[in-house]
Amino acid sequence: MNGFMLLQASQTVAEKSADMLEKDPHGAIISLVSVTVVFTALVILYFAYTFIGKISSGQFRLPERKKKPKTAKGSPDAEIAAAIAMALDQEMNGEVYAAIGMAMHQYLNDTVHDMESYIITIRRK
Amino acid sequence: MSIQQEKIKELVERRASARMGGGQKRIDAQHQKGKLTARERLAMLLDEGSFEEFDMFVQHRCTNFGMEKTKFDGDGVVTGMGTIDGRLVYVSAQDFTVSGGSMSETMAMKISKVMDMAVRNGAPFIGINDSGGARIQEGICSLAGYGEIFERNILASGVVPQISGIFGPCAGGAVYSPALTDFTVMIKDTSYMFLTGPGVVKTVTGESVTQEELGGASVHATKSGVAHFAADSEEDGIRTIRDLLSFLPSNNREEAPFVQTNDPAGRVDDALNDIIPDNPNKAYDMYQVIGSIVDDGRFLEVHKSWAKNIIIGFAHMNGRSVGIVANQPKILAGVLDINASRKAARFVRFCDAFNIPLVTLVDVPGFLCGTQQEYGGIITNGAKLLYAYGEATVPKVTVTLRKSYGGAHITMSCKQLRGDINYAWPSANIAVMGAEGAVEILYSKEIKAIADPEEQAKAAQERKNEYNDLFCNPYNAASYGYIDDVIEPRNTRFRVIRALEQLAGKKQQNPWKKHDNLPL
Repeated sequence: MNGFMLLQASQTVAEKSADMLEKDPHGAIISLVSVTVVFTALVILYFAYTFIGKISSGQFRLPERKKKPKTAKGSPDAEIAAAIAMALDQEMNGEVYAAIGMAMHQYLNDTVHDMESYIITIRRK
Repeated sequence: MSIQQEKIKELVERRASARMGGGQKRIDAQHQKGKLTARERLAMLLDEGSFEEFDMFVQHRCTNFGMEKTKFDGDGVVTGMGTIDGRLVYVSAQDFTVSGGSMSETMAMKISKVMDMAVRNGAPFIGINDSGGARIQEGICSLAGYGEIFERNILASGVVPQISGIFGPCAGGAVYSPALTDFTVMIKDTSYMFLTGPGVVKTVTGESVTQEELGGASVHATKSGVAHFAADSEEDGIRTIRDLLSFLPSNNREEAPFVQTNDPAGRVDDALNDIIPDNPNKAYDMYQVIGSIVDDGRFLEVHKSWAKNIIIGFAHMNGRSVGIVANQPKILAGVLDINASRKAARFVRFCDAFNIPLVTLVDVPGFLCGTQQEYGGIITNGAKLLYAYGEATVPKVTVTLRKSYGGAHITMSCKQLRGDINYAWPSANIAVMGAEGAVEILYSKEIKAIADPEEQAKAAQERKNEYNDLFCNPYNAASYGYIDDVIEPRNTRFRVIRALEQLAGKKQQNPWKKHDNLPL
């Protein structure tokens, strides 16, 4: 049964090949199609890997949306919350954020090191 | 053919005959046992074409028991000079195909001659043993021959490196020559060393043992410590001897050969920063530290399978040969016991005798306690290592990685034993003992007086914390100058290399004495 199906399939392929040979005797069309498919695949892969690379290195960020301050509508504490947020924002200025960021970076990336010159300047006798 | 040509022909024939040793039949028998002949061993050991044989025509002088009828040119040993990696060495290889390699007076004379030449010319001596023991037919003359060799072993000790290869049997008094040399290489399954064989042992003690169980390479490499290296084959054994020589100077007035390296001195290894576990009772592998700091991670370990709680061996650092001594926290927590002390002491003394700087990596919780150790003489044996470090005048660089407690701290090349540069990692604890033991001694009464068990545990913990804060860090020792600097683990290679370069010109002499009296 399987052998029969295989035979049928090969006949179909043979027929198609003969048809193709008739339509494209020098193979120009099939070459063009093949090259196009390959280059299209390469271009897609280029963009895909560039995108993945940016995500993994942290360069890619989604465009920031302007966040509206979340306030509970109709809440009596909304004004107090806004006041606290403003006070915190004033207190935690850019320098504090930078210091926290640096500390976090050093901790997470293990970059606290006792640096040496790593050069031997003693001349060998 | 002229008379001269006839004479040259005779020379060629006699040489060819001497090179056949005890004859083709015995050579075949040797091969069947999986062993090489003396000349084959030397050909493999020495640089190609470098061997010059001496005393090829020496014959024994014994006439007892019909010995005058069995004479061979060269007798039972091949001696001469050659080179290994272009460096001069003197060699002897006992020839088992001639009277079982048994020691005759003339054999001893041949060996003594090359030993004298080695000392005179400042070159290492390598002796390959494959002998049934003393030649009984020669009686006292054979024993006298052994005596001559032993005396030369003693006089050459500390003057030129002496290496013994045990490539076959080595029994009776013959074992003392290898025992007197610096390094012994044995071959697994084909070599053995013992004072008396299994037959005598059975008669005297009633104990049944095989040759391998009594004195095989595995026994001497793991249990007795007689063998420094156990090789899988003769080829492996010869490779070991060649490797070993690459770390050693030719004599006690020279320095070990410099080996060019592409491994940068400033190479850092971040993995070292995380190697010490947070739990002080958890082990780590000291081989990782050694491999990380030496050139290309290449380390020739001595006594690999004996007293594994201490690691000793040779390596290069920035191309210079160094002797490494390191406690191994993975085995017995790196404690110093009798065997570990003996093993390290002899190595330290060897390095000191041959101008090889010592790098000591310390993580030692103390000396092993208990009746077995005390009855075995841990005091005397521990003192050997203490003595060896204390008398050594070569550059000594010590790095304390973690624990360094009590007497063991002093023993492991501390500042007061003239340690030149003593570094510590931030994880180092340099104290009389650990917090647990100290609190038990200092606050035992006070803590026991607390009735509530919870409160008792809390008080004990508080005291431990107090002790840890005070002593269990490197800064207390550093505040007294006993530690020269606290270094980041990943910088260890660079700092040790810079210390060694700094100490390259070190000259130090001990007070004059006839000889020392180390606690044997």
